[in-house]
Amino acid sequence: MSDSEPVTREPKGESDVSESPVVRTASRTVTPFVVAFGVYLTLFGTSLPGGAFQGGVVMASVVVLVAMAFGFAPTQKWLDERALAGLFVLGAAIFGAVAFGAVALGGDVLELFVFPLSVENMVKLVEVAIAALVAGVIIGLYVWLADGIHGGKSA
Amino acid sequence: MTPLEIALVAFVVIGALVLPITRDLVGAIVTFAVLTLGTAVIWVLLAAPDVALIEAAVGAGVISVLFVLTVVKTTGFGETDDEIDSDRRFRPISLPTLALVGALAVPLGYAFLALDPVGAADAPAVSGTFPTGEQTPYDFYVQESLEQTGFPNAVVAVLVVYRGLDTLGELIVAFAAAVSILIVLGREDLL
Repeated sequence: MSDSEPVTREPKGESDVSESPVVRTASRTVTPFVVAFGVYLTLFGTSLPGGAFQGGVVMASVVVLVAMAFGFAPTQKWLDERALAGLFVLGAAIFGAVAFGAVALGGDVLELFVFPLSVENMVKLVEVAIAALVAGVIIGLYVWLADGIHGGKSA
Repeated sequence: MTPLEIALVAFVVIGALVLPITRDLVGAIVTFAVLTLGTAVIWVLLAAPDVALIEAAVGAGVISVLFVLTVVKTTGFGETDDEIDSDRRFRPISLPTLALVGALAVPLGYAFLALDPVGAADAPAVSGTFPTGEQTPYDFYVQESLEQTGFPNAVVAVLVVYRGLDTLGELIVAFAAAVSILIVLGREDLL
């Protein structure tokens, strides 16, 4: 960070990297389960409590957890930024395609009854799009805003 | 109220009272996360699991990390707990702030006490008809959504099928937020 901020106290050492093996092992271990829970919330939101917003946030929180445990700079190197941007662009594109595809098929905007698939399956498709958008936006928010925490481009 | 509910509400209220006056910034963030988790459990007890999931994931998880990042990027962690003498662990309470918060809390508390008891069958929020005799939206969704959409979660049915345009607008806002972050950071090349 080139600009001199009013730093009252430097954080101890590598501030955002946890040195505790407990934290690292725990976040490594829970990651697949939390991702699976996020997918479950997204796909089964039509019949059980949950939904795409919840599922997307839960999936995104895994990346935030990994970043807190292993540091934002390594996480940023590991993440493909183009894929991350593609994630929320794709989510918005699918939702937009469903919304205006209904018009092309002779219905109103977002009228899900005109599609050949059942309404439940159309809702699941929209839910996957919402989850991708929400997860992409939240991961992007953290990864890009934390950029510069180790002296890169400051936000 | 059951003992569990009383304990949870007391937990959340005590956390909310400690939060603004503690000097330890990290302690304040952790207190915030934990009291939000307590709020999430209260949502579960109030039979609102969808809200509880959001409260736990966003409120307790992601927002706390945002606070930690903000603190690290602006002032650093401030004084940590072991550097603060026990007699000045809390900030002195500012009387004008207390008066302002109290002025907000009194009408809110009054409105809270005026609510119907949880689960009351004749509460306006769950009644089937307006005083004018028309069917309420609540009654319509509860009666019709399973048959019209073919799946039982009425919350998702309202979000995606009945009020889909609102959800689309909501997501356009989230999309615009992500795009503006990229523009502010000069990373338009990613789009």
